[in-house]
Amino acid sequence: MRLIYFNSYLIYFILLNLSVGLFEDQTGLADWHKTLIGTAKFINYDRSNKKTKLIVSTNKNVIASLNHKDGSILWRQHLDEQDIILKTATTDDDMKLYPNGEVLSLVNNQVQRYGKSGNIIWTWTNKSVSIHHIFGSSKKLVVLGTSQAEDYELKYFTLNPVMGTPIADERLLDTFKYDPSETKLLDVQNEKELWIVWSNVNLIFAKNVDGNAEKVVLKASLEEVTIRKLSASHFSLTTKGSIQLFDLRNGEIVTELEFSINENDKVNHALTAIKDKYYFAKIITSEQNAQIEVFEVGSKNPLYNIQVTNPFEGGNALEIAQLVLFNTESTGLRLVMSGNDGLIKMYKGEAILWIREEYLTEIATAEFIELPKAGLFSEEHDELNESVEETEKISPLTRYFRRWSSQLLKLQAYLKAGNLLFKSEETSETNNFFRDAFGFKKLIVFATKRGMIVAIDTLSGDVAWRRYVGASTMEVKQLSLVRSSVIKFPPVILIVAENTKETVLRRLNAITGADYTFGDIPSSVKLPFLATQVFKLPIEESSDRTHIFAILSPDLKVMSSFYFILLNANVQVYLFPDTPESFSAVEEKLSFLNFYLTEGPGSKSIAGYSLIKDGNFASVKNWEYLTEESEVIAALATIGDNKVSSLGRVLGDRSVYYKYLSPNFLSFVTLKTSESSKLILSINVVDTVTGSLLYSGAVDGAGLLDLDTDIANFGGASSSVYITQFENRVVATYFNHGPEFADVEDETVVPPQNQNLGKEKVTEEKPRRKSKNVKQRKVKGGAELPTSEAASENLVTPNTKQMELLVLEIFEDFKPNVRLTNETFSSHERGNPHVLAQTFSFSHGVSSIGVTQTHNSITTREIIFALGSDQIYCLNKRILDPRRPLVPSNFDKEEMLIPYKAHIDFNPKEVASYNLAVIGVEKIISSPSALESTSLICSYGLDIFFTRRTPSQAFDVLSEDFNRGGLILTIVLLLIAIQVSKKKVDHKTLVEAWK
Amino acid sequence: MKNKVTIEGSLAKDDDLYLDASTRILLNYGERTAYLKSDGSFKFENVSLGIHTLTASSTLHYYDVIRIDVEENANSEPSVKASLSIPGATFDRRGPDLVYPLELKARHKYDYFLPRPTFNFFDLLKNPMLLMSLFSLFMMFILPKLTANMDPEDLKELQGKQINTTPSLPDVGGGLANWLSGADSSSSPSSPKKLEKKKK
Repeated sequence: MRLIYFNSYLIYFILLNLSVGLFEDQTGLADWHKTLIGTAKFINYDRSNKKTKLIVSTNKNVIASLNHKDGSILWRQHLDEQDIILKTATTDDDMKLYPNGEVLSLVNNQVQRYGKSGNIIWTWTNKSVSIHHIFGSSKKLVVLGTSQAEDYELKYFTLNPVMGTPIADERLLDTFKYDPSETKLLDVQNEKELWIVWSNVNLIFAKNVDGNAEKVVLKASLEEVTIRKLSASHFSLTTKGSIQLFDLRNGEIVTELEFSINENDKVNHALTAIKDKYYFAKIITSEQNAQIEVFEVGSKNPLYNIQVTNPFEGGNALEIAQLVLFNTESTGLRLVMSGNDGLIKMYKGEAILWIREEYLTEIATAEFIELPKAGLFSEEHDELNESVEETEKISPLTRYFRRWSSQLLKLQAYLKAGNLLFKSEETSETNNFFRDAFGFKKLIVFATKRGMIVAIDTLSGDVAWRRYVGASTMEVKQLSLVRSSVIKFPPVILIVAENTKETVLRRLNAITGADYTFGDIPSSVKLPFLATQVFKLPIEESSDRTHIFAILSPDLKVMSSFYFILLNANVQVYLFPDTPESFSAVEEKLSFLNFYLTEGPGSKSIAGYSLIKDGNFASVKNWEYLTEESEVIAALATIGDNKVSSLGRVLGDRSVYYKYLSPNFLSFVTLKTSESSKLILSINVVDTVTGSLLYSGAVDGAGLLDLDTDIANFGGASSSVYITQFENRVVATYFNHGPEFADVEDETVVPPQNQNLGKEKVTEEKPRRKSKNVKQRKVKGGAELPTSEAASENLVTPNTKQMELLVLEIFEDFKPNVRLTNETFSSHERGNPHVLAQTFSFSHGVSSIGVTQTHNSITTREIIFALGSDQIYCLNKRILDPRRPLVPSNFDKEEMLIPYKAHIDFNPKEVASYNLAVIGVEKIISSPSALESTSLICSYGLDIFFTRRTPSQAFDVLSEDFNRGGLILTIVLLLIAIQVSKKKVDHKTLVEAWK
Repeated sequence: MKNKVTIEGSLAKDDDLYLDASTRILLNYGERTAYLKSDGSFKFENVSLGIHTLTASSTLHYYDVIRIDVEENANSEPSVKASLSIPGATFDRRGPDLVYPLELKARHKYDYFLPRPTFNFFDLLKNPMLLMSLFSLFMMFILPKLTANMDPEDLKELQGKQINTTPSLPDVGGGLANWLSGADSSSSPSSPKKLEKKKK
């Protein structure tokens, strides 16, 4: 085994130089990491220790402890997806059980105790009940649960708070039936008695569980009432018209405070204690401000009231407020508020102490925005800002002066821009968003589902601008780049948002976040229908057009952007911008416009359309790919704009395999569960113009990681099945559940022939329906790959349970040196591509997949995986190569192919996030920099992590440890040597001349 | 007869190995997740019959991949067997058995960083620029002195030899690839054998 390891290390480190590791002192120079926790679900103060802390549990299943002075994370625990946090409790609000500031949480029917560094000390559960509440008195911890049987008996457990072990038998509180769907349960206890407050039909009761005392608190219907426990003995009832604060004292329920409230007010409240005195805060929020009134419990008059302006962006509502008082002055007030805008704000009195930007955990889409060049931005001071007619009219002398003055302006602007380049740090204005020399500085614009648009500078990781464009009912669906920055015109993005009835399109200047209007094209359009999809038409091809743009006059404004097409349910097509020019431009290229539609993972079809002109524009369905009944699309790749530097792969014998570089091929993965619960995963490649199936391969026994996931209702979230495509390659990940789940009739398992080769390649053909021009190929190696031919005969499912990576490489033809001679690419004329496939096993679960991009794609690519171990891992495409031979021939060796090895070893040097835990990655995006060697990558989900990758090492810049001193010294020494030898030679010639 | 079982174990707490609170124990690479308690113990409940893979997911340390066999037992609880998993191999090959309840020990600490090259005089000598200048110095100053002391006939002979020998470039690519596939020596009748011969 050791030998195997040694062999792989040799391959990885010494010979092929595939490792792109990082030096320890380079951490944080090219990368940044935003640690986030998610929007708050519960906030508790923890004042048990000398340091006050905030315990926040969030909708992203994170329990975190925050420093209350600056909002930084002290510790955080990311819990499993199924483990939904129901309740957290700290020593301050419920119990004085632990002296060191520890947290109890109720997660997925489990009570967990967290230590002060976030470690779990113990967990407790009882399978017979579903747990609803945890609370404690001085020596014991009480857990309340209801039996899961029909009678909903309420059960009572006492635990040792230190060890988590039961200290008494469970008790049945059989006096009433507790149905969680009809009643709300809340615990309230004081020193001697334990009270349970619950509501039933229209009455709210309080009950002492030790005795039999029962009190009716209030008559109200359950829907209108919220009960909240505020302290060990206090609880509040909020109805439509009032808030009441109750205290349970010596078996009596005492109404402490009562407020009547307006029905339209958004009212929140909190309770806190200083020593033994309780203080109640009432928080009324409106769009402009939040009013906080603080009362001492027992007295009717407020202690003080303060006002906080603009607590939430865009009129969002307060969701949770929690406060703590250090003294009775208003400056002793610490109020933490979390609204549904995703911000957590901490106030000290009326002033903001800190803000946590947790909306960044709800990102819908993101785009890299290239910044304009500083020099070219001076073109704003136009050469001659006049029309041709005007130029003809005016005299040569005025023309001369005009030119002269405009050039002077330009010089000024250039100098300014130059200055900005040299001391860009000091300016905080939006003006300093210019491209840096290597193109490392870009903006990443993120759009959250709730409508927060935020741009982050890739160099510093700071927020460049933030804008709330949503309304509470609108959900942002999409963000696309309309135009990258062109000369003096800023880059423009389009945001598509929709509610239940209408779609809103809005154009923003990507550098400032302001609405973008150009000519008479409005910045936003509201459409009275729900668009099926909004997508970018490739009418304006990038680079050349941008040059034309430089000399444009207002008449050419249509060319200023790409056109967007909207499809509503009737597949009628609208254009945005909706101008006659855009109509004619689209009409001109109508025959080239094909597109495909799918509802993405979880749906059952992909359909291809083309545009026709029938008065207005409309679309016609050309083909449709339908999955079988128990089959869904699990993952779809996206067709990126593929820059390719080489057309083929040169083989060892100097012949060339030409890459299948179609801009129209789309790969996707479908999952199927048969009746006998066997799993089949198939990987398909279709041509999006003709709908022909270029390739279809099946892997038996493969599927989602979690077997309990219902495929029919599969939503595509956190699935472990991912796919990406680039150039002529497709990489997919899935979990192989082994022969147990494989639909193999003849279950003879062929023993592995090679010690290294644990598993066989599993590729077989599978008939397909409902797709035109179905063309299938059996995957076989070419003549150069005799070994893979042998492997494809052993179509067995390997006896394993493991994550697997599947790689396809698509070539133009089965034979090398054969390619179509057409000048232009046409989907209709391309023959059968030749597809090679290979699978590898991998030691980590995968939660997302991406690929690096560079400026001209000369640099090799790396496939980026977000691992289950919270890391970003990069694999060179030479390792994920389907041409890796089992036994390399001499030609293979000359081609420097790495021999096939079933398992891909985990190499810590390839972890882009090094020792950081990048939690909850859902998506990885990449963008080229101006340096060919460098690709910018960014992952988001819960945390945001950005770094630069150099897959072929930084070959186009001097490495930072380049010995500049040595170089200068050598030059100086050479100069001296030249001088010395010159003198010598002179002397010698002189001597010779005298001879 | 029960067909579900609880799998228990713990991560060994070494003095130099700090147990990270974010460490998770995964069954089948994340199908099930168990949290680690302060004492390093973990527990999976209701694990079904069959073969499972147990891994510890940590950003700090590497732990072995463990194969767990839960086998049916006619009259008592299902039995749990643990053995070391061989990376890349199928379940047909079985690694050495482990004791159950599991005691996982960190194999090594992950090292994510490349070592900084330290200054080395011999590295300086490897610099092609320096080598070239040294060579030219040698040619300029020392070679003339060497040839000056030589017999004129020997010199002529030497010059004749130099003309006759045509430099043969070694097949670097082929050699490298041969070395790569070192495991399979039958198809690569190359450098190692030659080297041996030369030694003789």
